[in-house]
Amino acid sequence: MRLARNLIMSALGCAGIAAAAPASAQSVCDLAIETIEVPRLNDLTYDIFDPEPLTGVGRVTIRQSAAGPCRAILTLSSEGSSNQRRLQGFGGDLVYIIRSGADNGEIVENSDSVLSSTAFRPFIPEGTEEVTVEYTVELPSLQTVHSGDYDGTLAFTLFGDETEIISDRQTVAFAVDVIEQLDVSVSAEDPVFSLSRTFETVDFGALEQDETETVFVSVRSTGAYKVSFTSDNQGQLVHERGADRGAVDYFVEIDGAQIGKLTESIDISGGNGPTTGAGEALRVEFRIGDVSRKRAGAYADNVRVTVSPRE
Amino acid sequence: MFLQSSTPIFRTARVPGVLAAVLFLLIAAPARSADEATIRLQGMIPVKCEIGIGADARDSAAMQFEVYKNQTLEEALRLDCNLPVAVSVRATEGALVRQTEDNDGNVTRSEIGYALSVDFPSIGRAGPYNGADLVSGVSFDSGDVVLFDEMGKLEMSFTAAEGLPAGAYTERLSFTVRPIE
Repeated sequence: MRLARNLIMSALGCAGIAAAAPASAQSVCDLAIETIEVPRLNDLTYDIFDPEPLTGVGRVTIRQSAAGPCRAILTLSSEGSSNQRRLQGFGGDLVYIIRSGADNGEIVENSDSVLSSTAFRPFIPEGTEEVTVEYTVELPSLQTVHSGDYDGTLAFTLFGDETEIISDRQTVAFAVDVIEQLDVSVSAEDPVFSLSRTFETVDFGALEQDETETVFVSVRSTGAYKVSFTSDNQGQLVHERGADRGAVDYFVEIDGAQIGKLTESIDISGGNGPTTGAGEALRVEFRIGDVSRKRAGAYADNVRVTVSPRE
Repeated sequence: MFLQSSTPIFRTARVPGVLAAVLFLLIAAPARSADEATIRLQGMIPVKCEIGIGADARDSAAMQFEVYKNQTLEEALRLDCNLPVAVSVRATEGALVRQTEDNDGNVTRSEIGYALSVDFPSIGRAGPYNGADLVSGVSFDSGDVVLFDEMGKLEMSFTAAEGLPAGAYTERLSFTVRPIE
């Protein structure tokens, strides 16, 4: 089964920063940021392990109070030294990318770098009162991040007349909530995590003492985790017609460490996370015990592998 | 221009943001915090069922002995079967037989009667069976008991009549085992 994953980006608020200088008397630009629409990422379910990135389109409406025409410059940048919050005790940044739309006129600067600004150069024709500039925020997939809240601040700075005089400047805070994710898969052949592999059959064939088979237990997680192994039959393959007909012991080794018989559930401390999308694999070896004086027939056991968060 | 405090920024963005946050809480919370997968281990133990005669569990053996009246003889039997088992015993003649032919071609048949029983510790004694009954075969089973490599014994008692001619008397006994589960 897979966990529900949501990534929430929402407008938490806004803070207007007045840091402008009056335009020159000859200027035909008299600009202000009218509205800022944050990308509607917040109503989408987002899996950060999904190979497809999540993108959302935002809009900035610019009001021109003068007659124009005016060639403006709108710069989007992350405010402060970082636009991601570090999760307490773990660290890690959730990366996002700002891109300009194709219809925003000449693109002055367009960068994939989170920390670099992105600039647009919208042209406001004579007599036009408002223009809308679209921008895209993209959250790249498969980021190795812890679950939790991430926030950042976007600064929108508006210049008029291709001067360096700021006409308007506003900031927008937005947050991303990466929901805890914890998945496990099992495979006898492949250590790479796969959501579809939640059941694996290991067939020893004719049981022989000391015969071994290996299974990879792969975990994909946004945080620290533990892996629990629980046998339905206390570490024994049980005869198909019931335990009173006989059972065969088996023994477990995990990543080279002898665990022994699964007479009771055992916990293995996993990684501190987060993992990559490929996950982290444990190599689990099952070794058959004594099969002498065992009744003929089919024997089986189920080992439940459970992953859960580790404090 | 300077930003005025009344500037309606987020005029369109603020309400959808709050609404989406509420929806998220209703749909996704609480987040799942565990996941489970299952490894099924399976295998089989093939049926094995063998019977042997003598301490070394031979497939066939010749018992040679001298018969005296009311004598009882024992021979070891080894049974190794990983399922409950049925044992059938069949005799060729029903007695130890000696046949002679004189110069005129007349055949003389002499017999020594016997009774047979089989005894394994875990299932007890089966028999005795009269030799004559063994011609058509007799069988017994171990019930729900599995005889893993168990040693038992074959017991034969003889009822030799007086005045039998001396010589070699023979009988052929066949033991067949089969699993019954």
